[in-house]
Amino acid sequence: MNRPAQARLASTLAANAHQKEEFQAFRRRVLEEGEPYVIADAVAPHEVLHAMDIHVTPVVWYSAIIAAKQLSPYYFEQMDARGFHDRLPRYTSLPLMSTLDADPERAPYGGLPKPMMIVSRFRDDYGQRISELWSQAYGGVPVFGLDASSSATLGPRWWERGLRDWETVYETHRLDFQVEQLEGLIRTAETLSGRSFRQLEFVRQMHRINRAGELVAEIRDLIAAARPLPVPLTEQLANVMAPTWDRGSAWSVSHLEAFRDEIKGLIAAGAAACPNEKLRLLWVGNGLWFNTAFYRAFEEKYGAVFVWSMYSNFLSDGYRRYFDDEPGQALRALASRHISMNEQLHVPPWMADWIVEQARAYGADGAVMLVPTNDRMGSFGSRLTKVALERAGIPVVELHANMVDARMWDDAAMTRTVEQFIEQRLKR
Amino acid sequence: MSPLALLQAACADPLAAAQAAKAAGRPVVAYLGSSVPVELIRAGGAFAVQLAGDPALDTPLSDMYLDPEFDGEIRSLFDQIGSGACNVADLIVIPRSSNGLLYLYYSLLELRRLEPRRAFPELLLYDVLNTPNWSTGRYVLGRTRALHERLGGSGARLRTAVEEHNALRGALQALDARRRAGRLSGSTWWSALRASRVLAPQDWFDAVGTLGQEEAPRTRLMLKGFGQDTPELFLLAESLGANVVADDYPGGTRSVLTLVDEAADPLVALAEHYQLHVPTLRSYPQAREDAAWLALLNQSAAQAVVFYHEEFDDTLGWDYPAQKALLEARGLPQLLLGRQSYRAPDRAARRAALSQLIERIPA
Repeated sequence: MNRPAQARLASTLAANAHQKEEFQAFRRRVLEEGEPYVIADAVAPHEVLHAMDIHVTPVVWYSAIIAAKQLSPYYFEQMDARGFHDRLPRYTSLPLMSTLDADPERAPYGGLPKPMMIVSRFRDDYGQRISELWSQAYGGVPVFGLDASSSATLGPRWWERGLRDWETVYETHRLDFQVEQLEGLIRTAETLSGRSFRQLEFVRQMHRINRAGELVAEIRDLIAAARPLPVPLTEQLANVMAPTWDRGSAWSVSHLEAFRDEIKGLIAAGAAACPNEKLRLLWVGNGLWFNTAFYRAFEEKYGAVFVWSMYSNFLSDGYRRYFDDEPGQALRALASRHISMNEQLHVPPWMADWIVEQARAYGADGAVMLVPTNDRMGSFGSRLTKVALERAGIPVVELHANMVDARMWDDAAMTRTVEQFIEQRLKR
Repeated sequence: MSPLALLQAACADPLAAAQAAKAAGRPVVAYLGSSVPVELIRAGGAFAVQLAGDPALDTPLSDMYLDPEFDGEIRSLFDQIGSGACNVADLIVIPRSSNGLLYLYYSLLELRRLEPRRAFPELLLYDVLNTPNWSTGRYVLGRTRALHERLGGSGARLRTAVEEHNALRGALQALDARRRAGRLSGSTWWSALRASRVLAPQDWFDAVGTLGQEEAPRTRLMLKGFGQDTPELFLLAESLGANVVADDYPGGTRSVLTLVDEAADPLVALAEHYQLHVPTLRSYPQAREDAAWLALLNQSAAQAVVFYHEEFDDTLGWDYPAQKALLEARGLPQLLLGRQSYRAPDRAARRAALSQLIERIPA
């Protein structure tokens, strides 16, 4: 007999509390003690700064927080009022709007104080513009731009080959360039902060990230094999994303161990996210951060449960890099971590092949694909990935909406679209 | 055929010269955008031809495989290349000068994987980056060397190709000066520039060398924003009594304003040139970019600026509010043609807006 899973896992409560406490403590240290911190893209090497004990606020993390607190409509109205047209990217600009608004009473956790610098990886054509505007909004802070080189070929099964054979997968000339950029970032951060890059601590953290990745892989295998799904997708997201942002810390490893143990216990107890489970769905694309309840909207009526999203196991497949003790290898391994993340998550064939692999592992019956409107960096690979999934026998429905702009979301229409998909293409 | 008609014919049938070269036994290397070192293609002995988007063509392949928010130019190129319409080329070089071109490259590779029997030319990515950093320059030099190795050609031939292409840039600069002096229409300038990228160089020099003086409309406009795959906006302005005397968009005037350093090692000079001196959507920092187009604005004495943003712009809209304020501070009128459809623009609305702008310009 399947038992409904408890509303929130103990691990989830711990992860949420950890993030909130960390942020508030960091903000206090910045405001009261003048401690340096950095605003950085999600696909930037936070590890370099963590090894110097410099706090990093990831842009999209704060964007998701703003959206989850239902503040995105307010900030996007400010964006309109400033003359930025309404098709400009939302996901990576929402935190900039909170800075321009300059109202710490309104901004989540009191807003982002002036950083030591902004680290931006120039993968799209507009990130550099957002970073420059943000720098100006703070009265001028350094922008460290990381150039984004590109692979000439996107070969098979990056999520396996990239763990150890990253020198081949990510190409020597690109790694040489990225190492050079990382060395520049280290020197810049040392100069601005007055702190030293601690090599031994950095290597320790790189090993911890590999350990965290191994734990996520173990958790992924447990969840993928379990019938029914033991925990809702929302719980998976909370427990994997917090260690992803805090990667390299001892907390990240101990938290994932606790989460794994809790999952094992739930599976042994026959817990079910949806006791009536009949259909297993993938959520393809970025998270719907202002409405995560949508992930559970089809359980009661159809027994349709979301089992996976790209955040479920990217810490395992995208972050792990094994390296030897040769001097410089840890930094080179780090160089290989971020230079192709966009291709892994958003560009076929890498995006498509990885998701088809997950569909098979999780026994998915279908996929709901968020195709970001007005954030096309996240949508460019959607159609080709849909073709690949459908060819692999996984029906797909597209939802055209934005991951953080709640103004564009029509809940009734989106619900109806997914219901029709379930009834017409999935119901057995 | 008049020289202008010859240039216009080359633009209307951009692969004709490449097909003639192919028929004569010469390899053809096509390229996209304006950030591929054409000098390397020519030094390798191939005929170089630029492929460009064409809003008049249907895009059934894109409808099937690409998301709707790809720019019209990219959708058009995906269909032209994927359908085999560019198979005169033995190789197509795609620069990483915009996100759209990079995704076009990957999408075409994926098309080949999904439909292996579909025949279209080999693709090569030229990973040129446009940030002004020294380490970036060294990376671009490495990619330029790799491209040179792939295309072949001796050092001597490369030096000659650099000199010849500089001569072409110089001729284009002279035409641009005529445009600024009111003796060449913007639409003729557009045709001459586009034709320089599809014709054999000598044929182009022959045509341009006999191009007559024109009496251009007196009202002077600058056109800024997305690239122009047709002369439509230039012609529209002319029909309303204005001339586009300056422009700032990828592939436009600024792409030919700087000569490659002939005294330096040609590969080093080419790498630096395409990293720093051929503007793209990714050129950085913005203050430097703004200084460059404001210099053109001053030089051309344009009386108003027309901003042209396409339907799914995710980039230039970040610059616009500050640029608009800069123009307001100078007392110059401006018009934003925003959300412009690539294939089916609202031409009546466009005409009315441009007409209103021109009426605001003091005589």
